[in-house]
Amino acid sequence: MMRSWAMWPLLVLLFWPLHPSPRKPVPAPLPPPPTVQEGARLYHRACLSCHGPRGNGEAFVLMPNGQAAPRLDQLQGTAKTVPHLMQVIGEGRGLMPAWRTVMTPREIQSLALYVASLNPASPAWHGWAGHPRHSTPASFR
Amino acid sequence: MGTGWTRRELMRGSAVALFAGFMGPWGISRRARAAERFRAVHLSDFHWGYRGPWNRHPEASLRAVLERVRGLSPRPDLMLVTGDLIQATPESSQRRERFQQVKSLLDSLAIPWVAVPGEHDTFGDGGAMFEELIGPRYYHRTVGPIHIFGLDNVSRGPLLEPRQVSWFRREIQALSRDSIILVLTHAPLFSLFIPWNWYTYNGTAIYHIMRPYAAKQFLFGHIHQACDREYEGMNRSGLPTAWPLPEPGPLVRLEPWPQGATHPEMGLGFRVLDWQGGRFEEPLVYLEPPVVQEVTP
Ligand code: HEC
Repeated sequence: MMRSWAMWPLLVLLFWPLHPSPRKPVPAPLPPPPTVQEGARLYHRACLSCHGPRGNGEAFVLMPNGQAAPRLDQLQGTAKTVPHLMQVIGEGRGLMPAWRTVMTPREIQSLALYVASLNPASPAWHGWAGHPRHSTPASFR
Repeated sequence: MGTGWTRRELMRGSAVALFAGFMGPWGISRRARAAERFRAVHLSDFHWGYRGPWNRHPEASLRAVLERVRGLSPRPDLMLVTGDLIQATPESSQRRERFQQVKSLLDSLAIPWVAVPGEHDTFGDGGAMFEELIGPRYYHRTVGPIHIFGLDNVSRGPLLEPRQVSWFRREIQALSRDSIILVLTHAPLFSLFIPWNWYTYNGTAIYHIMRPYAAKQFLFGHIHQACDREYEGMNRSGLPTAWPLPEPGPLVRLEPWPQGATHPEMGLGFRVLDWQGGRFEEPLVYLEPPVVQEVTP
């Protein structure tokens, strides 16, 4: 009796490859969505020196004129909105480099999300409308 | 030692530190190369026009270094300046004056020289006046057997614009594989210490393009101290003539210490590059030995 029970898994394993599997078309892999995590990683490589590790203006290096880059954790009004942040980070301003030249649009989006997240009162980000994996849930529209 | 952050041997009591800079085999026809001779001097970070406690007489320090260069025998064929010729100033008339003074001082040695911009040189105008008075922000020169590439990794932020990288790729790929190539930048192309902007965001692009070439060296300034780092070839810093900086490590704001009024030349100097017998010898010459003589990362 015991022996026949033990046979079953073996038989299943043996015949599993013959199990008919419908060939589903494999969807093209989506590009990874922008994330705060990616933004944080990039921030530590590209932004921390001038804006400080906490983004509070406690910079490790000063500008050649002796001034520090502004803090990024108390932005007001539109300055802390993701589209505006993407614009500043991508295009630069004054001594702020234009990161568009060396980063992809997604990386800049991730950085904008991260900087927005440093601001306590910033509205929670509900993703990129239109991005299949991260579209805005209907309840937030 | 093996990490090679700074491998210095100081001759105590003298202001001369000799760095036995053996380059290792180049993997090229060494016998043909043995006949070639070439001497360059690597200068950096003058910060001409600076006023303050980090160096009470930066102009005097530069003059002292240049006097030592003038006295070298054999005479250098070339001087390489890796940026921050002047201290940044928002006043364009002052900027012009500073550049002109540095230029006439360098010219007075009657040794050809090339320079790359530092962030102080491009502050305020993105490098326009540097290009007008000193030379292009990036370029390719051939001097004797050596190909010299100057790159700008400061004026647009700690990065190289894509246009510059594609230009570099085209120029390099037109050279034969056994070319001797020096790449000059202000900031290091590798990530020496990111929190202090001692890096180039997309510097790996340059190393990648340079991979097929064995006889190469990357020279930089910016860090105001000696550094020899093996990374995709040898990377070496020039000594500052303005003020020394501490070694990287603690996460603190980067600040020089006040150079004592009695020891304004501590840690200042230059580097000699002798191409001879198919390899470089690169002694460091200090006006006065530095505070930190052996740094481990
Ligand atoms: C070389 C120093 C430097 C680096 C590196 C740097 N910034 Fe800046 N940043 C500045 C300066 C200076 C300003 C102020 C520009 C102005 O308004 O003139 C600034 C401004 C900003 C602003 C606008 C703040 C406001 O008040 O609206 C944002 C956002 C910002 N930076 C984000 C970033 C991010 C993200 C990175 C990394 C990808 C970064 N910065 C890297 C120097 C720097």
